[in-house]
Amino acid sequence: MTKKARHYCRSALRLSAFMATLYASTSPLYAQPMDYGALESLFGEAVTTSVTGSPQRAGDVPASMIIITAEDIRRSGARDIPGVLRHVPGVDVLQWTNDQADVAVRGHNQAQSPRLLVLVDGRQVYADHYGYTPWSAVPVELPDIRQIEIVMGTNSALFGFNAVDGVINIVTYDPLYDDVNTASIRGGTQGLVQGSAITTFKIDDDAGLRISLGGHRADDFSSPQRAGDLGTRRGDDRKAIDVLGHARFKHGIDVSLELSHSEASEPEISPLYTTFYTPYRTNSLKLFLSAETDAGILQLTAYRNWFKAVQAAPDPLALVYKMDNEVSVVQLQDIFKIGNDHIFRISGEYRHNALKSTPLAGADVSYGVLAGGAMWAWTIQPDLTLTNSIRVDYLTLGRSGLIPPGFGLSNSDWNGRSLTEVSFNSGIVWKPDSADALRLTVARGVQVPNLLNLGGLLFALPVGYVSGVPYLKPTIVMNYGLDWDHALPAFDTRLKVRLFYQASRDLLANFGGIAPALNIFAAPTNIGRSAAMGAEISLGGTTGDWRWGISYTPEVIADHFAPGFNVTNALVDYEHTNPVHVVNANLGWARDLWEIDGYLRYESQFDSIQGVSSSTPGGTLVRIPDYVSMDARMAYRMTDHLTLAVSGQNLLQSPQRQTSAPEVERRVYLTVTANL
Amino acid sequence: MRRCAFRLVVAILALLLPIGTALAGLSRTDLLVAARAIGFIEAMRAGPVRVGIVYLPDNAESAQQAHEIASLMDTGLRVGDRIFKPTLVSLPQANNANVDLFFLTQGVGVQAAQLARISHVRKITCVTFDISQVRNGACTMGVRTQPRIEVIVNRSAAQASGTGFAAVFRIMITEI
Repeated sequence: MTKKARHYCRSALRLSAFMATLYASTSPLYAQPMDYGALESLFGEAVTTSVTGSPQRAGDVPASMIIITAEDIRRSGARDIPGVLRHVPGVDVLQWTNDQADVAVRGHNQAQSPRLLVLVDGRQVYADHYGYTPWSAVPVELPDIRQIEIVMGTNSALFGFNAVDGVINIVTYDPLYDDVNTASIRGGTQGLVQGSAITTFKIDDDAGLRISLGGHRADDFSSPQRAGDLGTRRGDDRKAIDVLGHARFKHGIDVSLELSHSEASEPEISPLYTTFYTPYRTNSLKLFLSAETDAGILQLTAYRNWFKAVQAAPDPLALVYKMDNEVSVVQLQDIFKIGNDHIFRISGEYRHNALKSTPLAGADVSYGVLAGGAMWAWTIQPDLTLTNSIRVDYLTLGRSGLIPPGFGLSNSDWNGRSLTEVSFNSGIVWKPDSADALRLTVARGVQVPNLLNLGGLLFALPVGYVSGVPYLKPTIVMNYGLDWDHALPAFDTRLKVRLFYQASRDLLANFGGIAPALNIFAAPTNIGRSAAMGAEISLGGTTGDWRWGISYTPEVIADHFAPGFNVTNALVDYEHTNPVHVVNANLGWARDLWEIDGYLRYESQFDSIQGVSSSTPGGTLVRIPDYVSMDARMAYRMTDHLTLAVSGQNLLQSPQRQTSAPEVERRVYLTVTANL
Repeated sequence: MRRCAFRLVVAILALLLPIGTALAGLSRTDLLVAARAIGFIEAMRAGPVRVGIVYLPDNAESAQQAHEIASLMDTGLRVGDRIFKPTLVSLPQANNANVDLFFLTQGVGVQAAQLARISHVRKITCVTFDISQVRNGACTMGVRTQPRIEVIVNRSAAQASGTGFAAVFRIMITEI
């Protein structure tokens, strides 16, 4: 291509003539917003915005936080995000099927857990109609990821409802700052065939594009199923695409636009603790604007998620749940500094969440949330920082459409019903010397009933309706934490001790409520309280070519349900379904062309809920004996651009009982990765 | 030949002149950190950056550090899309130096005020490892790597020298 042709080609890719007049390419290199790589290189540690909304060094955040780097992800040998997370102290992963896992932070894990907020670059990717995360449907490939940020504990003051146990923010590479061109293909047991390709390219110095593609096909485990679940193993399929464009303009203005699409199908454990086969389809569109002004860094984020899923069980009496959910979010924030010691963040958000009723169609249930928040970080002294965040959410419910015959509620029971909740996060960080950091944190978080609970669920039985109801209370979570980080530079080692106490009231259960006067036979309801107390003690570091770590996370949960509620009718039991003792250990070695890593995890015995059947809500507890699992990876760099790796999960024992679902099998695969 | 003569002078001075404080040896890591911090200066273009290493010829500490910095940068220190090319500039000659950036050495003391005036008039940013010169306003940005990496910016000096920084960077550093 001639020089002239290249010039015209580049011009043709520019934005419109009006935008081109603002284009920064003819101006000096202007200030950059969050260039993670450059900031990490400068400060020698990861940087994040996931605790306060303002950029911070990982060591300065007023929260318990773990950052998993791209190197950690690569060396984990995992083929999906839950596989990476299972090595993290304080994170629990329930591997229900080959492709489905539920992830929780600090206990309270359950099928399709709604207590963990998951985001990709600040956009929520959990299924908002229920609050769980179908990981296969998240349109992110592992090589896309710069870092995974895990905030342990409540962070509703920044992220809003449902960030009650923790937040996982997946930060991906930016095409304007990062150069990533990777393709990989993987094959292995359970008939796995998986591939991904990510490319970034710069249109010129001030515009870039990233395209990510990925997909896989696999069989589910072949370990024995219960009779009622037979027929759900129809294979695991996934494909996803994500396109991100980022352009920089004059006057410190940045614009990015992102589109994504994913399709996934898998057998999965439902909130009934029986097996459904569920195909998913998601789409998203996100716009991000950032401008540096005299009033601070102004940022606007607007996105819309479309989510469809059909949950069906093989039980002929079981109903088919068609989820059709749309979420629209607009967020505006201003981050500014006053003097040297005070950083502020002021924010506003509007969110609209809508779901069509199911299995009985014809009604639309929705809520709108208007929220305002503020954050103030005060550097009292160079070694002492106090951070306070507060947020007020005002939610209004709405319903329109079908009122089935004999149903005791009308649309007016929803319309206009509102709730106002305050959440806050407070943290003190004290660094008495260069080797130590102490954190004291207090937080109040809010888990709002999901749209299914609020009326999206609707079907008729001869004895009455099963329906969501508008009068549920939100779950309020109070979280207290005390952390101590101690560096041992002589040994390149770090000790981390985290203590926490968390109290939840007005817990939500999908079942257990009844309202005969309304002709409602079964409904979600608030069932009582639960308290968790625990610790995460970890020691790790690097020594020459070696890296290592060991952690112990004891946790005790005590449930205090209202009389009459138990696992049988409410399908909730945090106390007995949490392993009290968990130990993680890892050892890795890398030199020249080789990398070898191994991971061990021990969980003490616990109980796992097992559903009665897909047509009969109800549960029992199944004892899961204590077990040890091992993952490993060995990689050889064949050329500067080509790496061959063999990795596996659950290597020690196959099959292995880890939940009430069919036993988990050993998984081994071979991966060839090309970095261009 | 000039570089050889310079090194000979430094060696003789090091032998003859008492040094009040122990010389802190610089490492390539220190320079890389400084170079990365410079990357967040708004007007700092990509490509070659002419760095004037400002020193006092009759001060052994200053001269020694100038030599160290120049030696570590060698023919050019590449960081990202910039390449930092060193030039030794004695303080009396700073006003005429054809550079994009001043790098002030330690040991200059109160005479650094002269460089501050030049920096403000010529709108050339001053960077240093001597944090005291940032606190007194003689230099715009200071970098420290131990016990942890810190970047300190004097707001008044930044304004006077026409130095602007990325907003995200300003939030994460210490401004005085």
